[in-house]
Amino acid sequence: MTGEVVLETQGLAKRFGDLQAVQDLNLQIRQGDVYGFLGPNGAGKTTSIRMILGLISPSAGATRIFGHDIRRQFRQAIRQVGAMVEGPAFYPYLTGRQNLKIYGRLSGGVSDSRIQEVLEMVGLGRWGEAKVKGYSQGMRQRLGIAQALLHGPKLLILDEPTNGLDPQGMREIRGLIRRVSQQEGTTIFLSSHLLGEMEMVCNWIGVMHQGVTLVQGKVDELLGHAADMASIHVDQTDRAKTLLKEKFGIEPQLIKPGWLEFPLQDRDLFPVNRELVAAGLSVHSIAPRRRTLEEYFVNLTGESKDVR
Amino acid sequence: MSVSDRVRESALVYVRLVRTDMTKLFRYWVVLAGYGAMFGIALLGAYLVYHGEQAIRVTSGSGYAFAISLVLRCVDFGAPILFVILCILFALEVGNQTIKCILTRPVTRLELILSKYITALIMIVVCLAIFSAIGLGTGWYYYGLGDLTENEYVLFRASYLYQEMAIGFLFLLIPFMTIASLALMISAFSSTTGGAVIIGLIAFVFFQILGLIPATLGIRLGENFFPYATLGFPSQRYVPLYILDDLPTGVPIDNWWTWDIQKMVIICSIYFAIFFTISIVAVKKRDFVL
Repeated sequence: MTGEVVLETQGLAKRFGDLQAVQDLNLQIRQGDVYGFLGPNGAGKTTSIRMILGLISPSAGATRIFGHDIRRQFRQAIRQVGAMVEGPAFYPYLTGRQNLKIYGRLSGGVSDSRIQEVLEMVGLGRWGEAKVKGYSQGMRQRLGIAQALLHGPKLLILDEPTNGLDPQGMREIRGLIRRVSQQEGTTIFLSSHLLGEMEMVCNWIGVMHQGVTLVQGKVDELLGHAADMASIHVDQTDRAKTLLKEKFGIEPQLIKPGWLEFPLQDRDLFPVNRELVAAGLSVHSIAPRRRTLEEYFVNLTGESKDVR
Repeated sequence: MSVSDRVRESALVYVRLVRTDMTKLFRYWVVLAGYGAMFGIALLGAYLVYHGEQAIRVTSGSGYAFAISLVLRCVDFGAPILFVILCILFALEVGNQTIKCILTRPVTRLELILSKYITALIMIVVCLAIFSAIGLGTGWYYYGLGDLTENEYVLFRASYLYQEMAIGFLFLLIPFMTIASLALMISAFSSTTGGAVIIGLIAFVFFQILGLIPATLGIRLGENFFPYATLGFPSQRYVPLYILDDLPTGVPIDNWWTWDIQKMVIICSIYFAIFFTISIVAVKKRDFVL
């Protein structure tokens, strides 16, 4: 934690009637971080982002961006921010380029060549002259990211940036986020419920559930540096389970057909492999692995259909 | 940052906002259709007014008088169309959710709503310019645009007529500014363009009816302030056009600052202050939960 604090919230809260949507949100995001803001649908992520950007007023608390209070010094605070909140928003009867031109004009100092550059960055280089009403959901999403990048912001806030994208598109956006972070030094604040995606790009995460921040910290610290699980791909899982229990006192879980998993707990996997093979089982693979963000998340918030 | 720097920066923001409004509005089919309708109304009106005059053998006699007569009629039809167009000004941003992208740029809410008002005024001027251009164009075609004469005696020089016409049209902006502030208020509370149009039409009809009630029930609101006591859209509101309309009959305009004009300014200012304040407060306080 050495970089300058770029985004900071103190006790941010929002109440809609009887519903406490967000309570006591305390974030501190430093320059160069890629911060993943996780939570199931309805956890309060988008409401938090709206408050951070000044789109809605908080019931309590404050937000400072680059040291400026978002409500009192709005212009100074927002100047270096690029954002896409809850999906892209455009004038459907205008072309992608015309839409970017409009937003670029509002930010100031955005040239036509920069517009072409961001269109190409998000993979829409050939689609700039097409009207947005003809764009697919994925193309709109890309254009949404393009408008956020337009003025070369130092802080990029993206709410569910990979929504509506196919796996190839998700991969491209992931690459783009990494590139923007590493090459341009942009601090990135991402919200998502796609945990696998977040694990691949973020170095910090915060987990939100029912309006409350459950935990936040470095991904490596939260998930652990070392492998703490073992997975076995074996032909007879029932026999393998019995054997592992009898010989090692391990109670593995069947993850999917042919696959067993158990906590590693500093155990050596060579004797395990030897026993399974000696018992006549075909072991296709046996390997230690790190706990995934999804497992960590489910452990914190419980099972939810919204988490993938 | 010094005060002058802040003023310069804010002025630049207004220019950018209004420019972007112009770009997006004059490419939006609803706006284009509205202006197309106004253009059509003016052309059709010119044809009908001229042939109506021929039928009863009473003619305007000059292109200038013909233009005034035409603008007066067009304003009656054009005002509701213009009102509906202005109603969507802010609602368009909320309906398309583009408000999120605008308000996450260095643009304050006050600048946004004031820029919408400036845009509204420009759209009003464009509308009046269309009516005036068609009025003068067709007036020139039918009667010519020279001095106003009677039995070869020059009543008014053409330069005097156009000067008075320009002043009259400037005063005409006042009731339109009030109408624009009402439209903006409706727009500020709307979440969709469709909703804004419907509420705008309801408001238009409501104020029309409200304006008829005192006269229908015989309630005297006071000679001086009737028919401005309610924000109706009767043609009597457009006092400057009636003053101009007397000019071709040989009545010179010695003084524009008459009691009729003053009444119009007072009433319109009161309504404007109410609608405009509500619009600003609504936009500043609104949570954009889209």
